[in-house]
Amino acid sequence: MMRVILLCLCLLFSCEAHAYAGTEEFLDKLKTTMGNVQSLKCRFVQRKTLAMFDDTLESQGVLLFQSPDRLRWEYISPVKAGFVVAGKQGRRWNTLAGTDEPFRVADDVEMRILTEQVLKWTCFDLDALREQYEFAVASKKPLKLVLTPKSTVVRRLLKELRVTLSPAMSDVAKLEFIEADGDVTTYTFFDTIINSDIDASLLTP
Amino acid sequence: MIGHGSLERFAYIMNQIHSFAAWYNALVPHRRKLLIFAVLVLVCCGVMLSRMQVREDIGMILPNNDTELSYSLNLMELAPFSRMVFIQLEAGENTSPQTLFAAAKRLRSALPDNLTPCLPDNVLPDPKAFVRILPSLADQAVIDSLEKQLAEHELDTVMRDNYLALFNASSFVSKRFIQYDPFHLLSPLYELLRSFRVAKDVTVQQGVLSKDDGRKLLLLVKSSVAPTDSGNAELMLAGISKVLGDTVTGDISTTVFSGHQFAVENARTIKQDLRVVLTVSLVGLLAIFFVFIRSRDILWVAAVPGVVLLVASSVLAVTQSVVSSITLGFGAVLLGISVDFALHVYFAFRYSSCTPAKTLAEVGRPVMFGGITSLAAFGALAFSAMPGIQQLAYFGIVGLCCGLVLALVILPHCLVPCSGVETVCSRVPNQFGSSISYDGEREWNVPLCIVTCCLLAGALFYGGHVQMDNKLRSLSVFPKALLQAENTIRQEWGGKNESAIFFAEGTTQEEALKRGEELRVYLRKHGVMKLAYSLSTVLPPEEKRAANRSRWNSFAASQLSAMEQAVLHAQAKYGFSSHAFAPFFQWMTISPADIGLEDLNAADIGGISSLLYAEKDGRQYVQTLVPDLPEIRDLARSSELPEGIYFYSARNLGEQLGKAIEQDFRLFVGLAFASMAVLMLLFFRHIGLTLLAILPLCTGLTFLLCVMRVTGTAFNLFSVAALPLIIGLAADYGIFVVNACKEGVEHGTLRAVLVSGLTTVSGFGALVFAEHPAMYSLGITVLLGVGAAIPAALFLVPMLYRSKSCRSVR
Repeated sequence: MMRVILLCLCLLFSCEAHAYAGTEEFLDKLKTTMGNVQSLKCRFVQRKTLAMFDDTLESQGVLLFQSPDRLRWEYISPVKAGFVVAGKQGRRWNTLAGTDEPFRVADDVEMRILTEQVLKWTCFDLDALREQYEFAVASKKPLKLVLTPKSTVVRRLLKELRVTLSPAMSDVAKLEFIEADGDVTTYTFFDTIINSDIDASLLTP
Repeated sequence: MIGHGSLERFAYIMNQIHSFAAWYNALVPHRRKLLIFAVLVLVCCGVMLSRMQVREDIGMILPNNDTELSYSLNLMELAPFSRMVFIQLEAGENTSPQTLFAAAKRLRSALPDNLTPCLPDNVLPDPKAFVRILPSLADQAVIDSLEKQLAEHELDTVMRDNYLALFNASSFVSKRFIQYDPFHLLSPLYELLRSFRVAKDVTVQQGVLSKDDGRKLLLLVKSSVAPTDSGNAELMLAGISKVLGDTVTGDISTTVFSGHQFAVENARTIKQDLRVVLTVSLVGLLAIFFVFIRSRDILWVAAVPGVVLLVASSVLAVTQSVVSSITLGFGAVLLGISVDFALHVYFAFRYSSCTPAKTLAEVGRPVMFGGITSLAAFGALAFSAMPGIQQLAYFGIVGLCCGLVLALVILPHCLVPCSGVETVCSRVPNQFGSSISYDGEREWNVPLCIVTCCLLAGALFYGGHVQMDNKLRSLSVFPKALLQAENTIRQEWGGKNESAIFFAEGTTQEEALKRGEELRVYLRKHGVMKLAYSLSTVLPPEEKRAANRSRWNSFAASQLSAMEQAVLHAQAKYGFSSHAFAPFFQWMTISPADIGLEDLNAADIGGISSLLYAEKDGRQYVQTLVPDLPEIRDLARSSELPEGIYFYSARNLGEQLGKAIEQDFRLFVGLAFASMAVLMLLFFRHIGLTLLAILPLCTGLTFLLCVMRVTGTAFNLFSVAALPLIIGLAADYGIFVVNACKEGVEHGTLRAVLVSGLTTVSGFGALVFAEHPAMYSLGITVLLGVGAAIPAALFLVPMLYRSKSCRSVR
């Protein structure tokens, strides 16, 4: 999930751009500009449409990132919950469950997958990403990228990622995470600030 | 000195030996036919040789009186790691774990066809497959654990946690597990699988083992190439190197380790050694022939070992179903001794002034006895407990008989004698000065005899404490780099101890599983199951699986109502849909089906079954890996060990091998000495002369033992196998020289002994330049033994039994 979010953020700052160029040219440009992202703050709205629930689940939160390996993903409503990761160590909390516990990234499959993907996208390791995904430009106005997992094993979980930029190319308008069973999670990002100072205590487990 | 009966028998033998002259004369008119017959025999041998089946089988060097050990060894090729290739990738300072993992994935997907990754490339395991497995593994401990877990956690609280998990960004990971197992009933199964982790800090990601936060990765790859197939192993390793070069770039260090590397390294070393050894040996032989022989007739002599090898190999091919490569390799080397018989005949013909028939009659006697003593030395090998050594004995005996026939029957008709005129044999001066004379009466040099005996006794006492090397690794090349790679993999990825293996055998899979379970119970009873990795842990026998499923049904029935209530409550409180947990209730309500290996594979834990289950020759094997510890070896030897269980341990094997080598060593030396003494006594009919003839043999062996003691070298399989050569050669030298002293007829004896000794030293001595421990051991053993026996025969023997004229001259 995080990889998608960061991809959108990357797109946000790279659309200087060659939004209308070919996919390859566009990705190469992204690879160059991504190296400049040292820190990032933004707010988001998450909407989950899952077959396990009768209604859509909606929540709001904040994302903080500090290169190279610090990350905070925090829900503000309807439940205060989230996690913070710094390198090998992490901490997660949930006020509803009354939990607040440290964890090792390597020992937690979910956290490991998330953080790995985040770092991959943050560094924009295009070679590694191209090994995992097929990239395609679905539309140019607004710019919409579709990423399809190459691995059949990954496709058992994730059908595709859809990344839509705003008409002004300044931010991501919509991000859709389409799972193999038809469940959809949509993220909307706003109030994004790049390369600003972030309170270190917020990124410490 | 000896009894009348023996004397009569010996006289009969002597008459037969003296009839060499008659045989020679009888065959002179039929020389052409004789040669044609010999060629026809060789052609037949060549045809027979094509039937030979050579096998590189370490079992041939193991004692055949321990059938269980041999059987376990045969199962070694089924061992989990025997065909495994370990590839470790380690990130340098400038490489991130992500980059390293990407490289590992590239490498994994680019591996050649003959290499299959052992661990499945899954992102996440499949809960549907897990829930199928659990009921069959639900023994009482699992049920107790689940009941305790359900009692400790409120079901409503568990459902709330499920809701929160689905709310999270990472829900795509946990969703399916919540659908199938909302109450975490699979926890005991995860616990069971965790017991297969070799190290706490190692995790598995998409078929790659990871540690140190992803800075070190390990790929486990199974090869279709047998570890002893050095040719294909070399190609396979070259393929891995190429793929590594193509896929792993930058600041990443790689370590590759597999048993195949040892096979390749051994083959490479042997090839390299052969080039060096053959060059040195050839130069030495050419020098010897140039100095001492300089005649075209030597071609006939040189052909003898080749013909002997052909005949002996073809006889083995016909009489033995499978021939050990060890027998062939060593036998070929040991049969070099056959050239000595031919050399003696050659020198006799060259330096004797008698007719060829008379010359043959005179040289035939010591040559025949030399051959008989060599046969006795090789015959001692037949009493070995090791089949490979026994085969070597038969090979040597056939070869020596053939060598004798060639030297005494065929060769004389090929050589050109120095004189074709019938004359009385003259006494010719020897080539070693007047101090060693063959003329006149002889007497014992008593003071020198005493000094020699004392020296030999002292040296024997000192050298008698040589150690036996029972390490299997001493038999092959183990380059430092490979050992370091092995050590790195072992240290980094678990198992500081070497592993031993229990094989539970069955004619069917179920029988093997049943025996595996019996072994598990046995090991648990003795408190070592916690150290073991066994397939039985995740696949018990059918009977137990059925009992577990029955237990599971009772558990599910008793818990179902409470779980349904909790789900209904959660639907109302958190908005779960009515079919949200349909997969779970389906699992809980239908009668669970039986499971097999295919279900383990479907659950992506196929790595375990592919490593710990095997088939061979229609038999099934469930394997249990344990550390190779003394207490576990004791358990394996215990009479309580369940039936149908076989144990393999490298240390165990080494101990058995060491004992066999030690026993064989004593047996060879004892039998060889005894037979030498008896034969020489029959030949010389004089105890003093017999002892004198044994002197070169004693000197050679004593010198060898002393040097080994001084240098701290231990006897290994190869040095023991070289003993018959030393014994046979040294005894021959003694017989020839003492016979020459006794008879006063030299006939080039000293020259023959010197040249045959030098050729042996040149041939075998060159082996000390070899890197391979087998070749080096053989070389150094023969070089020291024969090297000391030659001067003893040439100088010490004539000095101890000196000519009276020599003393008066002095």
